[in-house]
Amino acid sequence: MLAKFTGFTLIGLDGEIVEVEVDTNNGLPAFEIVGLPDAAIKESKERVRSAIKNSGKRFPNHKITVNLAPADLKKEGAGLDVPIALGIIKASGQLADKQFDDTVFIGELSLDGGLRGVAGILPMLISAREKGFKRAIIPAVNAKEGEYIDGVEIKAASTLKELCAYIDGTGELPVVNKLDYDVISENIQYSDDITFVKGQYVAKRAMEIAVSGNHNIILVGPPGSGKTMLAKCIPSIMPDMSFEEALETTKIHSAAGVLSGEEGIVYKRPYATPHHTASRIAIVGGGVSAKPGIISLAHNGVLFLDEMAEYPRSILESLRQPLEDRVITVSRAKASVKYPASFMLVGSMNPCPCGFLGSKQNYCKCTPSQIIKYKAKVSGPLMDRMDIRITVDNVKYDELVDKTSGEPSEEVRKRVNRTRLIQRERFKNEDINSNAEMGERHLEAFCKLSKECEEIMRKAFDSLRLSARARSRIIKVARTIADMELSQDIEPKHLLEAISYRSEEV
Amino acid sequence: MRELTRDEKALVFLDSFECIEYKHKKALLDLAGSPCEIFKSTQLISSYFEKVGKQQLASSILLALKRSDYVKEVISNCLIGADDVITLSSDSYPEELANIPTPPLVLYARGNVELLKRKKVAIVGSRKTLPLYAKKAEEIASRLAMSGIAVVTGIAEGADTYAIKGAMSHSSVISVFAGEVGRVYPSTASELANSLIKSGGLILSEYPCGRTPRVYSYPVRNRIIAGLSLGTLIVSGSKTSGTRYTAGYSADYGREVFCLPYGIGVASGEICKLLIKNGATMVETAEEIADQLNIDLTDGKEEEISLTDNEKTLYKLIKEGITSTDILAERSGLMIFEIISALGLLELKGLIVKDVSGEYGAIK
Repeated sequence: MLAKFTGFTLIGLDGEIVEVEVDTNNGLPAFEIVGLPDAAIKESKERVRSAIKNSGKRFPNHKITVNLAPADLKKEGAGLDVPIALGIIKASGQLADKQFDDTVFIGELSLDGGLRGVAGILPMLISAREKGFKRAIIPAVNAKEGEYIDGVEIKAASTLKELCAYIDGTGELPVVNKLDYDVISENIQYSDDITFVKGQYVAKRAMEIAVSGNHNIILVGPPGSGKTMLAKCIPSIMPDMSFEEALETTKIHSAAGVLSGEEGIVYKRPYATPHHTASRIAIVGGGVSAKPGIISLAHNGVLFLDEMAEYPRSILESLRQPLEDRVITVSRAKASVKYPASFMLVGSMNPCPCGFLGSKQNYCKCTPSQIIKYKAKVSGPLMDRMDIRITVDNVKYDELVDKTSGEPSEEVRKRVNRTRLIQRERFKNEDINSNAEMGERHLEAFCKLSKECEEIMRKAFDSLRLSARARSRIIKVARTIADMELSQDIEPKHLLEAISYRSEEV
Repeated sequence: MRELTRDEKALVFLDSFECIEYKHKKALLDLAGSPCEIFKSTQLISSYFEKVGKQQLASSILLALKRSDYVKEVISNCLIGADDVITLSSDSYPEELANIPTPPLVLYARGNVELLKRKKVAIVGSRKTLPLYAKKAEEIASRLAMSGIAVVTGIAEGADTYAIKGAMSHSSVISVFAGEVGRVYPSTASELANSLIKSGGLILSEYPCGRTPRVYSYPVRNRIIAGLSLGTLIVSGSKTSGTRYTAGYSADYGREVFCLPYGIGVASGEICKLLIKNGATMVETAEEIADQLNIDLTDGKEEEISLTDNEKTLYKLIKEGITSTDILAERSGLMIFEIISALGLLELKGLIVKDVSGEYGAIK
């Protein structure tokens, strides 16, 4: 007898339908799976056998053939265990003969017949919705991920036994409740708060600007000056994620299998801090099955590279293209996948190998060639993409009069949200969201400079010896500063402030 | 290239022997009376070196003299990359330099040799000069150059570079290299050297084509910088900085030594404080230097700089010695974005300078 159930497999960030057909024939007992299964699926034979036996069903003593259609699609992951097991049970006549053409079954089996969680539930559910399925049955462990998907009924099963009862019509499965995204996103707690950063007014202001306009920022300063502490506060002032953004990011996290079981959706902007010994594949993405890398996990969030000059050149250079295009295409033998990678790059580094260049109290002992070598580790084109560069100096705590706490992150975040809103409004007919993404065409349209501003630009070029390519970067930052003050035009003071964030070529 | 006189050829020839110490060359010249005697009197050469016990040196010269084309070859080789050559016997040899105990026998020049006729002041300092002092050096160099005084310096980054930048705009800068004039070291300064030549400046060196700078040639070079100049301004330097040689030579030759003032605990200015303690003149402006040297500066046009209230407040605080933006923000009571743009304007107006460490200092 032939049985058919529908499962899903993940190709990149998209779920693909897999028709699981099971047929039992007379002959020597055998169990064959065909249709380009990966190792995890081949091994499912043993899981399925034990799970069926331990769920009070009989494993048929027949020649069993499982076909995963379409036959030319490479399937991976253990998520197909459930449809295979159901197929075998039904094919051996132990299940009611009902059609479940509009239902998707996803889940891995444990030997005792329980359902284990699977990576990539969210993108699979989204695909299922798009492909017109009415119902999806997922492991109870993954139920959280289903809470934010509308338009498809999601049920959670925790054992194969329950599932069989449901199909037989003798039991019911709990429906996963829909949650409202706004409620959860409102109560976000951050561990670091900018209110605890004493002094560093310029750095705090620069960070607010960077976050407001999604500008990349680099903090340069001697060791122990608080660069890392400042950078850690960035998530707490990042603008709230819209539901669409959250869904995009969750999709990637789900596909990568890094989603925590507690929240079904990534509602905090991601903050990725890869160590400088991480491999290029880990950061950009890759591996046999073209998995997303850290830059994709940081999509809609922050990628913080502490001690940027310590990263291998090849890693830093590989960031250039995603910084520009905001997507990364990972091509491997098994698949070629386009992952979104729109992140804000935050870097920190010392001014020289010993860290004391320019310090008054400590004399820098580095030779000029050492300093040049150190700075050259971050290439010109990459440095070119850092819109804001600031120097962070040791806070002279004794000299600070005002030792009370500064503005809390929440206040700053409110302003940032407002500024982002202005930008979204401005670019609603464009394919970009923030000032940092502006190209020459946008600069022409949205960043007209007055005569007075042009004059300041000219003066700055002469006296600060700015490079020609610094110009558009300065204007973009000036646009953000103007937006922060709700100003329609870029005024001289905005431009001046933007120029000051281009401290000497680092 | 002009035709060299016989004396000049003799000096270039003698100078080309790297194996012979300077003191022997000088003694030989003193014995010979006129440099061209070297070509004539082989007797003189061999007897001198016999006396000092270095016969093998004599033979190397005499062997070279026997080959008829050698002198021609050595002279044309020495001149590759140089526009002109000035020898101790040339009319254009600067008098100040001739007066020092160890004047270079030959100077190779690239650029405008006329600058040597001007009054000259040296401005030198270390590579790690704080921006505030670098700016100051640039300003002083510019002011001196504007009045037709040639600024003498090296080519290293830091103080030298800023002195060149300041003086270059008034086409009055002499850079002395520690290797051949045709090759710039550090190579990162090549562009600066090119624009220096284009601006009508001069590059000098006592080394012929093919000589790369050695560690020891820098202190040796510094005697030329000190020797050319009426006075030397030391911009910066740690206690062991190479600028101490320049200051030392300058004092030995009876020239003035000027230093910029530094505060307590500023490591990059130790040498200046040390020199001031030992009697160097502390200066802050080009006018003070000119007064000491009895030279007149043309009237610089002091532009009236108008400041807004915020700028005035901040400028005053910076002048009081408050350098960090954090403290400025607290003392002035202004919003941080007001401060940042006002500081930007003050910087554009040339009143303050930002440090590598992000602190500010007033230059006027």
